[in-house]
Amino acid sequence: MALTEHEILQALMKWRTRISAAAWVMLRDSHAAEDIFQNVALKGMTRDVVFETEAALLSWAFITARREGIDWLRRHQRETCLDAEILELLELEWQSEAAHPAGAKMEALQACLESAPEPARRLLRLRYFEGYSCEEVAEQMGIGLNAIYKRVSRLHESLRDCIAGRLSQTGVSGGRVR
Amino acid sequence: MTPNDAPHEFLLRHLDGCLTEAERLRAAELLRTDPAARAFLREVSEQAVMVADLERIAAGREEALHPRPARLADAGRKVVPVNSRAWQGGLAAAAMITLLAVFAFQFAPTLKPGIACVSKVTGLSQYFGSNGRMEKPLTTGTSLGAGDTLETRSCDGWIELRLRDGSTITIAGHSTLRILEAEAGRKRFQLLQGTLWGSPAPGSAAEAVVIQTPTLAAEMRAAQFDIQTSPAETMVRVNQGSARVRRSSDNSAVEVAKGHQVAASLGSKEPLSVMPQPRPIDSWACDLGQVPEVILGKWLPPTGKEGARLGAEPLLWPISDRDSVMLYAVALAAWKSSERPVLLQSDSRLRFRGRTERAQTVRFGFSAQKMRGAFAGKFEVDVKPDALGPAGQTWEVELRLGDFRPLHPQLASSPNGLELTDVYALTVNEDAGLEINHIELLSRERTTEWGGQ
Repeated sequence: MALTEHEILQALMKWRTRISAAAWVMLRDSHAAEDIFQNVALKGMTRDVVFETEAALLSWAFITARREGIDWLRRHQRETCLDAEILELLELEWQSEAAHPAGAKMEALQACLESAPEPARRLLRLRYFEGYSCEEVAEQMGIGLNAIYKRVSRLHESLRDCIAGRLSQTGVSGGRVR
Repeated sequence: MTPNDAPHEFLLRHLDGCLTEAERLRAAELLRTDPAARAFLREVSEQAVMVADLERIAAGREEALHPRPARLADAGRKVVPVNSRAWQGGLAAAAMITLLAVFAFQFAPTLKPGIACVSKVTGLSQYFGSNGRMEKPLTTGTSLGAGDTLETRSCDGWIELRLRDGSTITIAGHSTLRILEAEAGRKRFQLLQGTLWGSPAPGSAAEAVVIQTPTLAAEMRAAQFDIQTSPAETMVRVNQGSARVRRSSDNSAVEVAKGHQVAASLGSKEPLSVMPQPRPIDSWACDLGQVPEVILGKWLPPTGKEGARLGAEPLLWPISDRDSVMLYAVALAAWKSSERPVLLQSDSRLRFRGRTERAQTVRFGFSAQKMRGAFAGKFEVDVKPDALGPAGQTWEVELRLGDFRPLHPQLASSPNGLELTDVYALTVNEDAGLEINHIELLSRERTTEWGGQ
C-alpha cells in the first residue's frame, strides 16, 4: 500500500537533517539546503508521486535534492567540489544507516553546544549560519587560517563524540528504513 | 598538508575549494576509498545544517520576545546568499516545515507571537509587514501579526492561515487580507477584496472571528463560511454555525443561520435581507455585455462581430527558485454573474469563445470551492494552437471538466460536485493577443443538445 501524506511527512521529517545535509555538502550554504529540503518535501507532499515504501521515498528524496542542488549551483554559477560518484556514495550511506527520531540528534547537538565555550559556538555560527568562509572567519576572529581549520575540525570531532554519547545515554536508537 | 597529516582539516579545505588541483584529486580519492573520510564529511554536513537550524530557532525566540518591528538582520550580519525563504520563514522555518511548522505553532506558543500562521501557500502572493514594508515571499510556517497584509495576486494563488485555535482562513485568486488587532478576545481580519473561506476548528474549540469588508462586518461563531467582496458589495454565506452581520453604512445587523446568505452593497438602502442559499444551477453563461466582475483583463473596443471583448493583461508570476514567468490573463468572477451557485460536474463542459493574434498555447482554468464549503483548488488544461485554429480568427473551444488537471489534488482531485468561483484563460511568457468574448458552462444535457465538440 502506498504511503499516506502523513506517513510521507513523518518520514521526511525523520530524515530531514540527512536530506538537508546531502544538499549542504554540495552547496555549502545551509539556507539554500533548507530551501531545497522544503522543495523536496513540498514535491513529495503535493506532486502526483506515489511511494510504496519509505525506502522508495528516501531514494526519491535524495535524488530530488541532488537535482535541485545541481540546479541551484547552475543558477548561481557555482560548482561543487564533490563529483557525482562521491555524492552517490554519501547518499547511499546516509540511507543505509539507521535514522534517529526527528529532532533527537538536534536536541543532543544543542545540549553539546551549551557546554561548549562561546568562541567555539561563535565559530560555528559564523561558518554555518552566517555563511562566512574559513578565511573570513579567521579574519573576524583574529586567528590564523590554519588554526581555524584545526579548530573547526576538532570542534566537529568533539561534537560528534558528544552527540553520540548523549544519544546513547538517552537510549535513542535509530530506526531502519522499511 | 597531506591527507595523512590531518585528514579532517584536509577535507574541510576541500569542501571550501581551497585545494590545488593535485590535492583535489587526492581528496577525491580519499573520499572514494575511505569510509571514515566520508563519515566525517557526512557528520560535518549534518552538524552544519543543525547549527543553522538552532540559530534560526534562537532568532525565532528573539523575535518572539521582541516581535515587531525587530527582524533577523543585524547591521553586521553578512548577507546570506539569494535563497532566503528560510530567513523569511524566520522562527518557523527553524526546523520544521509544512505541517510541522503548523504543529509547532499550535503547541509552542512561546515561540509564536503571531495571530496566524501560514499553513499553505501557492502561486503569486505578496506580504506587507505591519510597518508597510513589502516582505519576502510568504512561506509555510510564517507567523503573522496585527497589521500584516497578504495579497494573492494570481488565478492560482492561495494562502491558508491557521489560527491558534485550529480554525483556518483561506484567501485565493485576487484577494487582499489584512490582519487587525484583536478586540474583546475576537480575532479580526479585513478582507479588502476577493474571496475568503473560513473553517472552524474541529469540536467546540473555535473562537469567534470577525471579518470586515468595505461593506460590512461579520462575526463568525464556529462557522464554516465564505465571503466574497468587491469595494462596493459583499456576499456572506454561512454553511455551518452562524454569523452576525452588521452593515457599515447604517449599522443595521442581522443573524445569518446555517444554509443562509446575506448580501450588502454600499449603494443600497434596502434593509439587509437574509435569504436561504439558492439551489445551484448546473449551467451558466457569462454575458460580457453585462460587464461582469472582471478580476483580470482589459476591455477592448467592440468589433463588428463581437460587442464585448476582454483582452489579456500581463501578470508577473514569480516561481520559487526560478525566474519569474509573465502571464497574460483574463479572469472573471463567476459569483458576480450568477445569483445562484454554479455546480460543476465532471461531464459538464466549459465553452470559451475568443481569439489570439498569434499562434500560442492557451491555458484555460477555473477555481472552485466545495458546494457551500471551503476553497477546493484550481483546475487547468492547456490547449495547443493547432486545436484552436488559425491565429487571428475567432475560435470556440469546449473542454470537458474531467480533462482539467487539479492544481491542488490534496483539496479536490476532481471538480465534480464543486462550485465554480472564477474562470480564466491565459498564455504563458508570450503575449499572444489573447481575448475572450464569451464563457459558458454547459451541463451534460445541454452539451448533448448542442452536439458538443
